[in-house]
Amino acid sequence: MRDLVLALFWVVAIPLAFINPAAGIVIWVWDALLSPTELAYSFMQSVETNKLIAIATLISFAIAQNKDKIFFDRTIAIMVGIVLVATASYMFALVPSDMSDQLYMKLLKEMVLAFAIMFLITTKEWLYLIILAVTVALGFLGVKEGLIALLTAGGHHVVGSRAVGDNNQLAAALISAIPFMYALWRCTASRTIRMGLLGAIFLTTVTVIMTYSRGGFVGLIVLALLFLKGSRHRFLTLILLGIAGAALLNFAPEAWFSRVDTIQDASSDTSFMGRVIAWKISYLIAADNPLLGGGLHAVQLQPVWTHYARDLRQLDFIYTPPADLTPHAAHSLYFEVLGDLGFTGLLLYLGLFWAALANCKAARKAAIKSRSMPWMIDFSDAVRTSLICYAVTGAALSVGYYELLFVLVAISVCCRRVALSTMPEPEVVPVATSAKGKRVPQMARLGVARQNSRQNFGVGSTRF
Amino acid sequence: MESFLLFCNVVLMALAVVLTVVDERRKRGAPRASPFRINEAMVARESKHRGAPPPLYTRRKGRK
Repeated sequence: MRDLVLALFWVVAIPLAFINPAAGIVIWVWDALLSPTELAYSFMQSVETNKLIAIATLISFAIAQNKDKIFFDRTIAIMVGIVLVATASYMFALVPSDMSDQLYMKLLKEMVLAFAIMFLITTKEWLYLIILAVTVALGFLGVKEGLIALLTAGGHHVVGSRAVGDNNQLAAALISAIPFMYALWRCTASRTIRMGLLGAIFLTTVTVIMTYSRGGFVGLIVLALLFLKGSRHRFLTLILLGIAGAALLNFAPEAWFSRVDTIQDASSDTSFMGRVIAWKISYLIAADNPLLGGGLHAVQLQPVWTHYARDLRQLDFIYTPPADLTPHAAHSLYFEVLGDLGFTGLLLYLGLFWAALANCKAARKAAIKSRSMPWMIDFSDAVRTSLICYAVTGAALSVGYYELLFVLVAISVCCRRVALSTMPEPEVVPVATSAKGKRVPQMARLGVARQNSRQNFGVGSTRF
Repeated sequence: MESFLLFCNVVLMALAVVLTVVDERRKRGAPRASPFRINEAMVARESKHRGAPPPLYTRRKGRK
Protein backbone atom coordinates (compact mmCIF):
# COMPACT_ATOMS: atom_id res chain seq x y z
CA MET A 1 0.00 0.00 0.00
CA ARG A 2 2.83 2.40 0.89
CA ASP A 3 4.49 1.73 -2.41
CA LEU A 4 1.29 2.46 -4.31
CA VAL A 5 0.78 5.75 -2.48
CA LEU A 6 4.37 6.78 -3.14
CA ALA A 7 4.15 5.73 -6.79
CA LEU A 8 0.98 7.78 -7.22
CA PHE A 9 2.67 10.77 -5.62
CA TRP A 10 5.62 10.61 -8.02
CA VAL A 11 3.31 10.17 -11.01
CA VAL A 12 1.88 13.59 -10.09
CA ALA A 13 5.08 15.21 -8.80
CA ILE A 14 7.41 14.68 -11.75
CA PRO A 15 5.13 16.24 -14.39
CA LEU A 16 4.47 19.06 -11.92
CA ALA A 17 8.24 19.68 -11.77
CA PHE A 18 8.26 20.06 -15.55
CA ILE A 19 5.35 22.53 -15.39
CA ASN A 20 6.85 24.65 -12.61
CA PRO A 21 10.51 24.33 -11.57
CA ALA A 22 9.79 25.95 -8.17
CA ALA A 23 7.36 23.08 -7.46
CA GLY A 24 10.11 20.68 -8.46
CA ILE A 25 12.64 22.16 -6.06
CA VAL A 26 10.15 22.06 -3.16
CA ILE A 27 9.50 18.33 -3.80
CA TRP A 28 13.24 17.74 -4.27
CA VAL A 29 14.02 19.25 -0.85
CA TRP A 30 11.26 17.22 0.80
CA ASP A 31 12.53 14.02 -0.80
CA ALA A 32 16.17 14.76 0.07
CA LEU A 33 15.42 15.31 3.76
CA LEU A 34 12.84 12.54 4.27
CA SER A 35 13.86 9.85 1.71
CA PRO A 36 10.35 8.39 1.59
CA THR A 37 11.43 5.53 -0.68
CA GLU A 38 13.45 4.12 2.21
CA LEU A 39 10.15 3.71 4.03
CA ALA A 40 8.70 1.69 1.15
CA TYR A 41 8.36 -2.08 1.31
CA SER A 42 8.75 -3.34 -2.26
CA PHE A 43 9.15 -1.89 -5.77
CA MET A 44 9.50 1.76 -4.78
CA GLN A 45 12.68 1.04 -2.80
CA SER A 46 14.70 0.64 -5.98
CA VAL A 47 13.35 3.77 -7.70
CA GLU A 48 15.83 6.67 -7.52
CA THR A 49 13.22 9.35 -7.00
CA ASN A 50 15.72 11.97 -5.91
CA LYS A 51 17.57 11.67 -9.20
CA LEU A 52 14.31 11.80 -11.19
CA ILE A 53 12.97 14.91 -9.47
CA ALA A 54 16.37 16.61 -9.72
CA ILE A 55 16.60 15.98 -13.46
CA ALA A 56 13.01 17.12 -14.03
CA THR A 57 13.56 20.31 -12.03
CA LEU A 58 16.83 21.21 -13.72
CA ILE A 59 15.43 20.58 -17.21
CA SER A 60 12.36 22.65 -16.36
CA PHE A 61 14.57 25.48 -15.10
CA ALA A 62 16.76 25.33 -18.18
CA ILE A 63 13.83 25.63 -20.60
CA ALA A 64 11.73 28.08 -18.52
CA GLN A 65 11.06 31.26 -20.46
CA ASN A 66 10.33 33.57 -17.57
CA LYS A 67 13.13 32.51 -15.25
CA ASP A 68 14.70 35.16 -13.08
CA LYS A 69 18.26 36.14 -13.75
CA ILE A 70 20.92 33.90 -12.24
CA PHE A 71 22.67 36.10 -9.69
CA PHE A 72 25.95 35.95 -7.85
CA ASP A 73 26.48 37.11 -4.29
CA ARG A 74 28.86 36.47 -1.40
CA THR A 75 27.03 33.34 -0.23
CA ILE A 76 27.27 31.73 -3.65
CA ALA A 77 30.93 32.77 -3.86
CA ILE A 78 31.68 31.03 -0.54
CA MET A 79 29.80 27.89 -1.61
CA VAL A 80 31.71 27.79 -4.89
CA GLY A 81 34.88 28.15 -2.83
CA ILE A 82 33.88 25.19 -0.68
CA VAL A 83 33.25 23.08 -3.81
CA LEU A 84 36.67 24.02 -5.23
CA VAL A 85 38.49 23.27 -1.98
CA ALA A 86 36.58 19.99 -1.55
CA THR A 87 37.46 19.02 -5.12
CA ALA A 88 41.13 19.79 -4.63
CA SER A 89 41.12 18.01 -1.27
CA TYR A 90 39.46 14.97 -2.84
CA MET A 91 41.95 14.88 -5.73
CA PHE A 92 45.02 15.25 -3.49
CA ALA A 93 43.70 13.18 -0.56
CA LEU A 94 46.27 11.46 1.66
CA VAL A 95 44.57 8.10 1.15
CA PRO A 96 41.94 7.63 -1.56
CA SER A 97 38.95 5.54 -0.51
CA ASP A 98 35.44 4.54 -1.58
CA MET A 99 34.04 6.44 1.41
CA SER A 100 35.55 9.71 0.20
CA ASP A 101 34.28 9.03 -3.36
CA GLN A 102 30.72 8.69 -2.06
CA LEU A 103 31.03 11.70 0.22
CA TYR A 104 32.37 13.89 -2.59
CA MET A 105 29.47 12.97 -4.88
CA LYS A 106 27.03 13.59 -2.01
CA LEU A 107 28.54 17.02 -1.39
CA LEU A 108 28.30 17.95 -5.07
CA LYS A 109 24.63 16.91 -5.20
CA GLU A 110 23.85 18.92 -2.08
CA MET A 111 25.52 21.98 -3.57
CA VAL A 112 23.47 21.63 -6.77
CA LEU A 113 20.35 21.39 -4.62
CA ALA A 114 21.33 24.53 -2.69
CA PHE A 115 22.07 26.51 -5.86
CA ALA A 116 18.76 25.39 -7.38
CA ILE A 117 16.89 26.62 -4.27
CA MET A 118 18.60 30.01 -4.50
CA PHE A 119 17.76 30.49 -8.17
CA LEU A 120 14.23 29.07 -8.17
CA ILE A 121 12.61 30.39 -4.98
CA THR A 122 11.86 34.01 -5.83
CA THR A 123 8.39 34.72 -4.40
CA LYS A 124 6.91 34.64 -0.92
CA GLU A 125 4.52 31.78 -1.86
CA TRP A 126 7.37 29.47 -2.82
CA LEU A 127 9.47 30.64 0.12
CA TYR A 128 6.60 29.56 2.36
CA LEU A 129 6.42 26.21 0.53
CA ILE A 130 10.13 25.47 0.84
CA ILE A 131 10.00 26.16 4.58
CA LEU A 132 6.91 23.92 4.74
CA ALA A 133 8.77 21.16 2.87
CA VAL A 134 11.64 21.23 5.41
CA THR A 135 9.13 21.25 8.27
CA VAL A 136 7.01 18.41 6.88
CA ALA A 137 10.01 16.22 6.02
CA LEU A 138 11.72 16.53 9.38
CA GLY A 139 8.43 16.85 11.25
CA PHE A 140 7.42 13.37 10.10
CA LEU A 141 10.28 11.88 12.12
CA GLY A 142 9.65 14.22 15.05
CA VAL A 143 5.92 13.46 15.22
CA LYS A 144 6.28 9.71 14.68
CA GLU A 145 8.99 9.17 17.28
CA GLY A 146 7.33 11.59 19.70
CA LEU A 147 4.02 9.71 19.53
CA ILE A 148 5.77 6.39 20.12
CA ALA A 149 7.66 7.90 23.08
CA LEU A 150 4.42 9.15 24.65
CA LEU A 151 2.53 5.90 23.98
CA THR A 152 5.34 3.90 25.64
CA ALA A 153 5.47 6.39 28.57
CA GLY A 154 9.11 7.28 27.86
CA GLY A 155 10.25 3.71 27.21
CA HIS A 156 11.15 4.40 23.58
CA HIS A 157 14.76 5.28 22.76
CA VAL A 158 14.99 7.09 19.43
CA VAL A 159 17.87 5.67 17.39
CA GLY A 160 17.71 7.85 14.29
CA SER A 161 16.83 7.06 10.69
CA ARG A 162 18.64 6.09 7.51
CA ALA A 163 17.80 9.42 5.92
CA VAL A 164 19.18 11.62 8.71
CA GLY A 165 21.70 9.49 10.58
CA ASP A 166 22.09 8.38 14.17
CA ASN A 167 20.24 9.73 17.20
CA ASN A 168 22.61 12.71 17.63
CA GLN A 169 22.23 13.83 14.03
CA LEU A 170 18.48 13.40 14.23
CA ALA A 171 18.42 15.59 17.35
CA ALA A 172 20.40 18.32 15.55
CA ALA A 173 18.07 18.18 12.53
CA LEU A 174 14.89 18.31 14.63
CA ILE A 175 16.15 21.21 16.73
CA SER A 176 16.76 23.10 13.48
CA ALA A 177 13.21 22.28 12.30
CA ILE A 178 11.42 23.57 15.43
CA PRO A 179 11.94 27.30 14.61
CA PHE A 180 10.44 26.67 11.16
CA MET A 181 7.39 25.04 12.73
CA TYR A 182 6.98 28.05 14.98
CA ALA A 183 7.33 30.55 12.09
CA LEU A 184 4.73 28.63 10.04
CA TRP A 185 2.42 28.50 13.07
CA ARG A 186 2.57 32.29 13.27
CA CYS A 187 1.94 32.86 9.56
CA THR A 188 -0.32 30.16 8.18
CA ALA A 189 -3.82 31.00 7.08
CA SER A 190 -5.47 27.70 7.98
CA ARG A 191 -6.37 27.10 11.62
CA THR A 192 -6.20 23.29 11.20
CA ILE A 193 -2.65 23.49 9.92
CA ARG A 194 -1.71 25.82 12.75
CA MET A 195 -3.04 23.39 15.35
CA GLY A 196 -1.12 20.58 13.64
CA LEU A 197 2.07 22.63 13.77
CA LEU A 198 1.60 23.31 17.47
CA GLY A 199 1.26 19.58 18.09
CA ALA A 200 4.31 18.92 15.91
CA ILE A 201 6.40 21.37 17.99
CA PHE A 202 5.45 19.53 21.18
CA LEU A 203 6.06 16.03 19.78
CA THR A 204 9.34 17.03 18.10
CA THR A 205 10.61 18.41 21.40
CA VAL A 206 9.70 15.11 23.07
CA THR A 207 11.59 13.26 20.31
CA VAL A 208 14.72 15.38 20.81
CA ILE A 209 14.68 14.49 24.51
CA MET A 210 14.12 10.82 23.74
CA THR A 211 17.19 10.68 21.46
CA TYR A 212 19.19 10.75 24.72
CA SER A 213 21.59 13.05 22.91
CA ARG A 214 23.67 15.34 25.09
CA GLY A 215 24.30 17.62 22.12
CA GLY A 216 20.56 17.67 21.55
CA PHE A 217 19.96 18.70 25.16
CA VAL A 218 22.43 21.59 24.84
CA GLY A 219 20.75 22.54 21.54
CA LEU A 220 17.34 22.62 23.24
CA ILE A 221 18.67 24.98 25.92
CA VAL A 222 20.13 27.26 23.23
CA LEU A 223 16.81 27.15 21.34
CA ALA A 224 14.88 28.07 24.50
CA LEU A 225 17.23 31.01 25.19
CA LEU A 226 16.96 32.30 21.62
CA PHE A 227 13.19 31.94 21.76
CA LEU A 228 13.10 33.91 25.01
CA LYS A 229 15.36 36.62 23.58
CA GLY A 230 13.23 37.07 20.45
CA SER A 231 9.86 36.92 22.19
CA ARG A 232 7.71 40.02 22.56
CA HIS A 233 6.08 38.66 25.73
CA ARG A 234 9.14 37.60 27.68
CA PHE A 235 7.44 37.11 31.02
CA LEU A 236 4.81 34.81 29.53
CA THR A 237 7.49 32.94 27.56
CA LEU A 238 9.53 32.51 30.74
CA ILE A 239 6.51 31.02 32.48
CA LEU A 240 5.86 28.64 29.58
CA LEU A 241 9.50 27.53 29.51
CA GLY A 242 9.38 27.05 33.27
CA ILE A 243 6.33 24.80 32.91
CA ALA A 244 8.10 22.83 30.14
CA GLY A 245 11.19 22.45 32.34
CA ALA A 246 9.09 21.28 35.29
CA ALA A 247 7.31 18.75 33.06
CA LEU A 248 10.70 17.48 31.86
CA LEU A 249 11.98 17.08 35.43
CA ASN A 250 8.86 15.19 36.47
CA PHE A 251 8.25 12.96 33.47
CA ALA A 252 11.63 12.26 31.85
CA PRO A 253 12.94 8.73 32.48
CA GLU A 254 15.75 8.13 34.99
CA ALA A 255 18.11 6.91 32.26
CA TRP A 256 17.84 10.30 30.56
CA PHE A 257 19.04 12.12 33.68
CA SER A 258 21.97 9.68 34.00
CA ARG A 259 22.91 10.37 30.39
CA VAL A 260 22.73 14.16 30.74
CA ASP A 261 24.66 14.09 34.02
CA THR A 262 27.68 12.68 32.19
CA ILE A 263 28.19 16.17 30.68
CA GLN A 264 29.61 17.24 34.05
CA ASP A 265 32.06 14.28 34.21
CA ALA A 266 33.34 14.64 30.67
CA SER A 267 36.93 13.79 31.56
CA SER A 268 35.94 10.37 32.87
CA ASP A 269 33.53 9.60 30.03
CA THR A 270 35.31 7.32 27.54
CA SER A 271 32.96 8.32 24.72
CA PHE A 272 33.81 11.99 25.16
CA MET A 273 37.57 11.35 25.50
CA GLY A 274 37.43 9.31 22.29
CA ARG A 275 36.02 12.40 20.57
CA VAL A 276 38.75 14.63 21.97
CA ILE A 277 41.33 12.20 20.53
CA ALA A 278 39.59 12.43 17.14
CA TRP A 279 39.65 16.23 17.40
CA LYS A 280 43.38 16.18 18.15
CA ILE A 281 44.09 13.91 15.19
CA SER A 282 41.96 16.13 12.92
CA TYR A 283 44.00 19.13 14.05
CA LEU A 284 47.27 17.29 13.38
CA ILE A 285 46.07 16.40 9.87
CA ALA A 286 45.23 20.05 9.22
CA ALA A 287 48.53 21.25 10.72
CA ASP A 288 50.38 18.96 8.30
CA ASN A 289 48.16 19.93 5.34
CA PRO A 290 46.89 23.42 6.16
CA LEU A 291 45.56 24.37 2.72
CA LEU A 292 43.61 21.30 1.65
CA GLY A 293 43.46 19.01 4.68
CA GLY A 294 43.74 15.26 4.48
CA GLY A 295 40.82 14.55 2.16
CA LEU A 296 37.17 13.82 2.84
CA HIS A 297 36.71 11.83 6.07
CA ALA A 298 40.47 11.40 6.33
CA VAL A 299 40.33 10.94 10.11
CA GLN A 300 38.19 7.81 9.67
CA LEU A 301 40.73 6.08 7.44
CA GLN A 302 42.96 3.52 9.20
CA PRO A 303 46.35 4.52 7.65
CA VAL A 304 45.75 8.23 8.42
CA TRP A 305 44.53 7.53 11.98
CA THR A 306 47.48 5.22 12.77
CA HIS A 307 50.01 7.71 11.35
CA TYR A 308 48.79 10.74 13.29
CA ALA A 309 47.93 8.84 16.49
CA ARG A 310 51.70 8.51 17.05
CA ASP A 311 52.00 12.32 17.19
CA LEU A 312 49.29 12.87 19.80
CA ARG A 313 51.89 13.84 22.42
CA GLN A 314 52.39 17.13 20.53
CA LEU A 315 49.04 18.17 22.00
CA ASP A 316 49.61 16.89 25.54
CA PHE A 317 48.48 20.21 27.05
CA ILE A 318 44.99 18.68 26.76
CA TYR A 319 45.09 15.35 28.53
CA THR A 320 43.68 12.34 26.69
CA PRO A 321 44.33 8.63 27.16
CA PRO A 322 46.38 6.91 24.42
CA ALA A 323 44.54 6.59 21.12
CA ASP A 324 43.07 3.20 20.35
CA LEU A 325 43.65 1.46 17.04
CA THR A 326 40.12 1.92 15.65
CA PRO A 327 39.53 5.19 13.79
CA HIS A 328 36.65 7.35 14.98
CA ALA A 329 34.58 10.02 13.27
CA ALA A 330 35.51 13.60 14.20
CA HIS A 331 32.20 14.15 16.05
CA SER A 332 32.40 17.86 15.45
CA LEU A 333 31.36 19.84 12.41
CA TYR A 334 34.37 22.15 12.85
CA PHE A 335 37.05 19.51 13.45
CA GLU A 336 35.55 17.35 10.70
CA VAL A 337 35.93 20.17 8.17
CA LEU A 338 39.34 21.13 9.61
CA GLY A 339 40.74 17.64 9.15
CA ASP A 340 39.10 17.08 5.76
CA LEU A 341 39.52 20.46 4.07
CA GLY A 342 42.23 22.17 6.11
CA PHE A 343 42.18 25.68 7.54
CA THR A 344 40.96 26.98 4.18
CA GLY A 345 37.86 24.81 4.34
CA LEU A 346 37.18 25.72 7.96
CA LEU A 347 37.43 29.44 7.19
CA LEU A 348 35.03 28.99 4.27
CA TYR A 349 32.54 27.11 6.45
CA LEU A 350 32.67 29.80 9.12
CA GLY A 351 32.25 32.37 6.35
CA LEU A 352 29.21 30.48 5.13
CA PHE A 353 27.58 30.73 8.58
CA TRP A 354 28.45 34.42 8.74
CA ALA A 355 27.01 35.10 5.25
CA ALA A 356 23.80 33.21 6.00
CA LEU A 357 23.28 35.11 9.27
CA ALA A 358 23.98 38.38 7.46
CA ASN A 359 21.33 37.44 4.86
CA CYS A 360 18.79 36.88 7.65
CA LYS A 361 19.69 40.22 9.21
CA ALA A 362 19.31 42.02 5.86
CA ALA A 363 15.93 40.38 5.23
CA ARG A 364 14.72 41.33 8.70
CA LYS A 365 15.92 44.91 8.30
CA ALA A 366 14.17 45.22 4.93
CA ALA A 367 10.94 43.82 6.40
CA ILE A 368 11.00 46.27 9.33
CA LYS A 369 11.78 49.20 7.03
CA SER A 370 9.06 48.39 4.51
CA ARG A 371 6.40 47.54 7.13
CA SER A 372 4.51 45.59 4.45
CA MET A 373 5.86 42.09 5.13
CA PRO A 374 5.90 41.35 8.87
CA TRP A 375 5.89 37.61 8.01
CA MET A 376 9.43 38.03 6.67
CA ILE A 377 10.56 38.92 10.20
CA ASP A 378 9.27 35.53 11.39
CA PHE A 379 10.88 33.69 8.48
CA SER A 380 14.27 35.37 8.81
CA ASP A 381 14.25 34.86 12.59
CA ALA A 382 13.42 31.17 12.08
CA VAL A 383 16.28 30.67 9.64
CA ARG A 384 18.67 32.54 11.92
CA THR A 385 17.63 30.50 14.97
CA SER A 386 17.94 27.24 13.01
CA LEU A 387 21.44 28.18 11.85
CA ILE A 388 22.59 29.12 15.35
CA CYS A 389 21.18 25.89 16.82
CA TYR A 390 22.81 23.89 14.00
CA ALA A 391 26.14 25.62 14.68
CA VAL A 392 25.92 24.87 18.40
CA THR A 393 24.78 21.23 18.16
CA GLY A 394 27.18 20.68 15.26
CA ALA A 395 30.09 21.37 17.62
CA ALA A 396 29.66 17.82 18.92
CA LEU A 397 28.38 16.04 15.80
CA SER A 398 29.74 15.10 12.39
CA VAL A 399 27.19 17.08 10.40
CA GLY A 400 29.51 19.07 8.17
CA TYR A 401 28.14 17.51 4.99
CA TYR A 402 24.48 17.08 5.91
CA GLU A 403 22.20 18.69 3.29
CA LEU A 404 20.12 20.55 5.89
CA LEU A 405 23.02 22.98 6.44
CA PHE A 406 23.14 23.96 2.77
CA VAL A 407 19.35 24.09 2.55
CA LEU A 408 19.27 26.53 5.50
CA VAL A 409 21.94 28.70 3.88
CA ALA A 410 20.05 28.68 0.57
CA ILE A 411 16.79 29.64 2.30
CA SER A 412 18.58 32.57 3.97
CA VAL A 413 19.59 33.80 0.50
CA CYS A 414 16.00 33.42 -0.70
CA CYS A 415 14.71 35.38 2.31
CA ARG A 416 17.04 38.26 1.55
CA ARG A 417 16.19 38.16 -2.15
CA VAL A 418 12.42 38.06 -1.61
CA ALA A 419 12.59 40.80 1.03
CA LEU A 420 14.60 43.15 -1.16
CA SER A 421 12.41 42.52 -4.21
CA THR A 422 9.17 42.96 -2.20
CA MET A 423 10.26 46.27 -0.65
CA PRO A 424 8.23 49.11 -2.14
CA GLU A 425 10.07 51.80 -4.06
CA PRO A 426 10.96 54.75 -1.78
CA GLU A 427 8.59 57.67 -2.24
CA VAL A 428 10.25 60.55 -4.05
CA VAL A 429 9.75 63.72 -2.01
CA PRO A 430 9.64 66.79 -4.25
CA VAL A 431 12.47 69.15 -3.37
CA ALA A 432 11.75 72.86 -3.12
CA THR A 433 13.83 75.00 -5.46
CA SER A 434 14.45 78.74 -5.48
CA ALA A 435 13.84 81.05 -8.42
CA LYS A 436 17.38 80.40 -9.63
CA GLY A 437 16.70 76.68 -9.71
CA LYS A 438 18.87 75.91 -6.67
CA ARG A 439 17.68 73.45 -4.07
CA VAL A 440 16.38 75.12 -0.90
CA PRO A 441 17.67 73.42 2.27
CA GLN A 442 15.04 72.08 4.65
CA MET A 443 15.75 74.61 7.44
CA ALA A 444 15.41 77.43 4.96
CA ARG A 445 12.08 76.01 3.89
CA LEU A 446 10.91 75.99 7.49
CA GLY A 447 12.12 79.57 7.88
CA VAL A 448 10.08 80.60 4.89
CA ALA A 449 7.05 78.87 6.39
CA ARG A 450 7.61 80.62 9.74
CA GLN A 451 7.74 84.00 7.97
CA ASN A 452 4.50 83.21 6.23
CA SER A 453 2.82 82.33 9.52
CA ARG A 454 4.01 85.65 11.01
CA GLN A 455 2.39 87.41 8.12
CA ASN A 456 -0.77 85.41 8.76
CA PHE A 457 -0.94 86.23 12.47
CA GLY A 458 0.92 89.55 12.35
CA VAL A 459 3.90 89.96 14.64
CA GLY A 460 3.10 92.51 17.29
CA SER A 461 -0.54 92.46 16.31
CA THR A 462 -3.33 92.65 18.83
CA ARG A 463 -4.01 88.94 18.32
CA PHE A 464 -1.61 88.21 21.15
CA MET B 1 0.94 4.43 12.66
CA GLU B 2 4.01 5.04 10.51
CA SER B 3 2.01 4.22 7.38
CA PHE B 4 -0.74 6.63 8.37
CA LEU B 5 1.72 9.43 9.11
CA LEU B 6 3.54 8.79 5.83
CA PHE B 7 0.24 8.88 3.96
CA CYS B 8 -0.68 12.23 5.61
CA ASN B 9 2.79 13.55 4.84
CA VAL B 10 2.60 12.62 1.17
CA VAL B 11 -0.94 13.97 0.75
CA LEU B 12 -0.03 17.20 2.53
CA MET B 13 2.99 17.83 0.31
CA ALA B 14 1.08 16.98 -2.84
CA LEU B 15 -1.81 19.27 -1.93
CA ALA B 16 0.47 22.11 -0.90
CA VAL B 17 2.42 22.04 -4.15
CA VAL B 18 -0.55 21.47 -6.48
CA LEU B 19 -2.70 24.19 -4.90
CA THR B 20 0.18 26.68 -4.94
CA VAL B 21 0.77 26.01 -8.64
CA VAL B 22 -2.98 26.47 -9.28
CA ASP B 23 -3.01 29.73 -7.28
CA GLU B 24 -0.03 31.01 -9.22
CA ARG B 25 -1.86 30.55 -12.48
CA ARG B 26 -4.95 32.36 -11.26
CA LYS B 27 -5.39 36.03 -11.94
CA ARG B 28 -4.29 38.62 -9.39
CA GLY B 29 -7.02 39.37 -6.90
CA ALA B 30 -8.80 36.03 -7.40
CA PRO B 31 -9.50 34.11 -4.16
CA ARG B 32 -6.69 31.75 -3.23
CA ALA B 33 -7.42 28.03 -3.18
CA SER B 34 -4.50 26.97 -1.06
CA PRO B 35 -4.66 27.01 2.75
CA PHE B 36 -0.86 26.71 2.63
CA ARG B 37 -0.20 30.42 2.42
CA ILE B 38 0.62 33.36 4.61
CA ASN B 39 -2.28 35.06 6.34
CA GLU B 40 -0.90 38.57 5.95
CA ALA B 41 -3.74 40.26 7.78
CA MET B 42 -3.30 38.04 10.82
CA VAL B 43 0.48 38.49 10.89
CA ALA B 44 0.17 42.24 10.43
CA ARG B 45 -2.31 42.49 13.34
CA GLU B 46 0.12 40.77 15.68
CA SER B 47 3.22 42.57 14.48
CA LYS B 48 4.42 45.93 15.68
CA HIS B 49 6.12 46.45 12.32
CA ARG B 50 3.04 47.09 10.23
CA GLY B 51 1.18 49.84 8.46
CA ALA B 52 2.47 52.70 6.35
CA PRO B 53 5.97 53.94 7.16
CA PRO B 54 6.06 57.09 9.34
CA PRO B 55 6.27 60.41 7.47
CA LEU B 56 9.62 62.09 6.99
CA TYR B 57 8.75 64.91 9.38
CA THR B 58 5.62 65.78 11.31
CA ARG B 59 3.68 68.92 10.74
CA ARG B 60 3.27 71.18 13.73
CA LYS B 61 -0.26 71.82 14.92
CA GLY B 62 -1.91 74.89 13.43
CA ARG B 63 0.32 75.00 10.38
CA LYS B 64 -1.20 74.46 6.96
